[in-house]
Amino acid sequence: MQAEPISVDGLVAYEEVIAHPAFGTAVRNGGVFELTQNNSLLRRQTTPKAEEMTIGEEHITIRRDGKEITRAIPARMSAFFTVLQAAVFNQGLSQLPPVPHRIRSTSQGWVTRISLQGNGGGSIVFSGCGDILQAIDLEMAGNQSRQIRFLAQ
Amino acid sequence: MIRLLLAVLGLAGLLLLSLPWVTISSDTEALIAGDKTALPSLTEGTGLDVLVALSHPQVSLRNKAAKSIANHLAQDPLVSSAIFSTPAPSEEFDSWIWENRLHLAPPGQADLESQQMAQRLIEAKEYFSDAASVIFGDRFLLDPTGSYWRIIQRFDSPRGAFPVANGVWQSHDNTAAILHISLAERPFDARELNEWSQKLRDLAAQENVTAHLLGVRVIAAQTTQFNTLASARASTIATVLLILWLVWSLRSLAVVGHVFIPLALGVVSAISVVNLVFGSVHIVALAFGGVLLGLALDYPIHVMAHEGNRRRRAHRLILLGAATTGISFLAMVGSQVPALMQAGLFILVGLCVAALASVVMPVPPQARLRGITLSSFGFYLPAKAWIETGLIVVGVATVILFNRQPPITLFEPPQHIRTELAELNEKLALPSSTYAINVQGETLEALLQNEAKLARVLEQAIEEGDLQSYQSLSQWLSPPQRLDTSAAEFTANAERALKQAGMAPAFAEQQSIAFERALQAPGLRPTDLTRFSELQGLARRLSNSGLLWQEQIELVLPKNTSEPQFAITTPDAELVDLLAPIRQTMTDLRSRVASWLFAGLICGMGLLAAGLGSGRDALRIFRTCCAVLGGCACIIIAVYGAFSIFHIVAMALVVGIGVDYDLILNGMKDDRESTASAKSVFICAGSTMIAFLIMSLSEVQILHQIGMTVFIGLILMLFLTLAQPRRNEHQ
Repeated sequence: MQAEPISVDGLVAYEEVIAHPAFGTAVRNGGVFELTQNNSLLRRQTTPKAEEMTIGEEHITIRRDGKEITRAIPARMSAFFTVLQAAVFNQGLSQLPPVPHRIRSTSQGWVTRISLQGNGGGSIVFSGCGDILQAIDLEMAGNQSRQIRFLAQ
Repeated sequence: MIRLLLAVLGLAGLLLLSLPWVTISSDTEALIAGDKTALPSLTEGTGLDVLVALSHPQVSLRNKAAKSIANHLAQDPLVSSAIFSTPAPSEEFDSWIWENRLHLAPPGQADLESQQMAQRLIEAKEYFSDAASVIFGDRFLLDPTGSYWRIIQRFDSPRGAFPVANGVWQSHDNTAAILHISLAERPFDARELNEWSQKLRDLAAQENVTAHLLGVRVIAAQTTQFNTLASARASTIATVLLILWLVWSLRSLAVVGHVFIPLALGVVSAISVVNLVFGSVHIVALAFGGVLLGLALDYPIHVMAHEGNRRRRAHRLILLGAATTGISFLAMVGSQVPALMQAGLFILVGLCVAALASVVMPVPPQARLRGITLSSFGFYLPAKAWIETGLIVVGVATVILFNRQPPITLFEPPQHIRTELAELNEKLALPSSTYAINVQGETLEALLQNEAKLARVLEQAIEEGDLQSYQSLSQWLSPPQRLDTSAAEFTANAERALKQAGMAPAFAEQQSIAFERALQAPGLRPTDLTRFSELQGLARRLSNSGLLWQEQIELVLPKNTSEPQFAITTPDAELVDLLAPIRQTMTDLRSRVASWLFAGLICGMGLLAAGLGSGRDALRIFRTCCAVLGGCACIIIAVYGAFSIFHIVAMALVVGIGVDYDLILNGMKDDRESTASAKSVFICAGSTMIAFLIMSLSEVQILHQIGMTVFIGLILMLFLTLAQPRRNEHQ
């Protein structure tokens, strides 16, 4: 899989749409992804609140309101962060362990799904058109989903 | 000469034969009689931990170095794990926290009211704009009581933990990245560990950072290396000076070689017998025994000094002296301290074999002594008996009135390592190794309630600057509370809360299922402490005896503060001195050594009386020895403040030397050729002084204390031995 999102000056704009059965309306966050000098993925959120998140191999570091918090990535979320980091800048998605997936054509392009094992299951859905990755959708148990749409800016 | 050569070759052969099956042990448990749990362990628990501070002003550079070194150490067979930040919780622990949230951070009654729940739900939804919501967001929504949120908050800002920058622990002064290494469980090998430490420092230097290591094993290895080098240096200097002295005194290298044969035979026999009886030879027995066998060097010199009938008489006195000292030290077997029992046997065997060898070995024909007739320094001391009695009384009074608790320097590293550790301790703000607070409770609930009361005192102390921080279970776990809310009430309140928050009321059903499951969870059980590696730090402080829960709360004291300046008055909590068990161990050890050596001295003097056939002469020698001990006691307490076991054993050696000198000087003085005896005592006293003066200058505490005590004792002993109670007797 070689598709990657559109990047402008090394930045990938995104909109995150979070749906949860508890919510009346989905929560929307927006900002840009950036690849740092040491190859860590930096998520620079601008709406609704400014925040920066650096995704490391085993930790995420969040800077918000002048505070910095580093959290270890729990096992149940490690697959998502690995895939996100690899997919945004196509940095070795093909190096991920082989997972059974099948590419399906749609009217807008293509969709493929990777099933996550353990912790209630869930899956990561990639969608795109040609060699452009348009969205990554994390579908979790209990009808929750978190879709990251990559924007053309 | 040929016989001498044969003897040397035979000795070398014996040594080579015995070496392969001799085991030298340095086990610290061998220094304790009975319960050995008070001493720190090198082989388990925190004994295997090493903290490494990698210093560099640039955070990114030191963090890169920390990650690189951790990766490198992952392949090292001496290392079990190397981490640079708190690892992610395991799936199992993560689930356990979630399931037990109502026990770990129980909600108050207000937290179960709809209004409070609605507020939590609004906050939880807002939290979804936080990137970390992908980890915790769903659970915050599922638990509107806020229990899970409170637990995560505690994890986010753990008290006393290292700050983190870009996923790597940092020192509190922000000058170093921190690595935590767990060493693999292997037998302690100082050399192997020092090589490993050096490799780690070299690796850090390649990464352009400076490494400082802190860990029980690392310090023990460094201390051992320092002591070994310092001891080797002192031994070399002392041996060279001793040989020069003996060559000058005995006028022949071959005769000097002859003098060393009984000593060498004594050491080999002592090592062999101790190894046979105990299965190994403890390093303390070897050190004590080796030092005390210095006495054996005197025996062949005394033999050489006399001829004909006088030599036969000297033989008897040498054997008597060796048996007296050997029996005195054998009494240490009664102390039941394994290392000292070995030392007692070592000295008895070593001295007796050396004395026998001196007596049996033919004297080299060219043996001639050069030296000063010591008795020419004899002088008249009026009321000598009263002066000696006075010294005894003053010595006893000084010990009773001024002797303090023994120092624990036996277990402390040398000064330069202590200075580096103090700097590192300041950088890392580690808990005090001297003081902690023990809190108890009959149940976990009672323990947490006691800790909650204590927390108010400690928080007050932090506000007043008397305490920097502390770590206790209550910071992580709240006292359990009874939940009176039924599942139905919870569901109704959750529905109302969702409505108030403008969210979907149907979600209340999922919240209720999660709430009911959490109600069924058992909470923290003793088995959980060992089940989860994440709770290891807690398990180290928390113990459960079945009847009682106890936690040892660690305190980080402000800089330049050695002891807490606040009072602990809350129930079932007490300030504990962590060094007290070691001090008590040393006090017990000192008492045992002193009392058994004194008992041995009495037995030895009984033997001396029988051997001399004169109770009066034995009593005179005993009185002089006790007077020397009294004088030594006064000086040692004035200089050091307290006796250590090494001072005591060295004083026993002074007695041994004193008995020998007195026997040779006074036992042969009625003879017309008594000047030869006086010369031999002069040579022996000279060699003893050289050896122990060099030892007294050593930085190794054991050597310094023994050397200084023997040097002082020897001067006192010579003074009193040469002092004559009657005028003209000294001439």
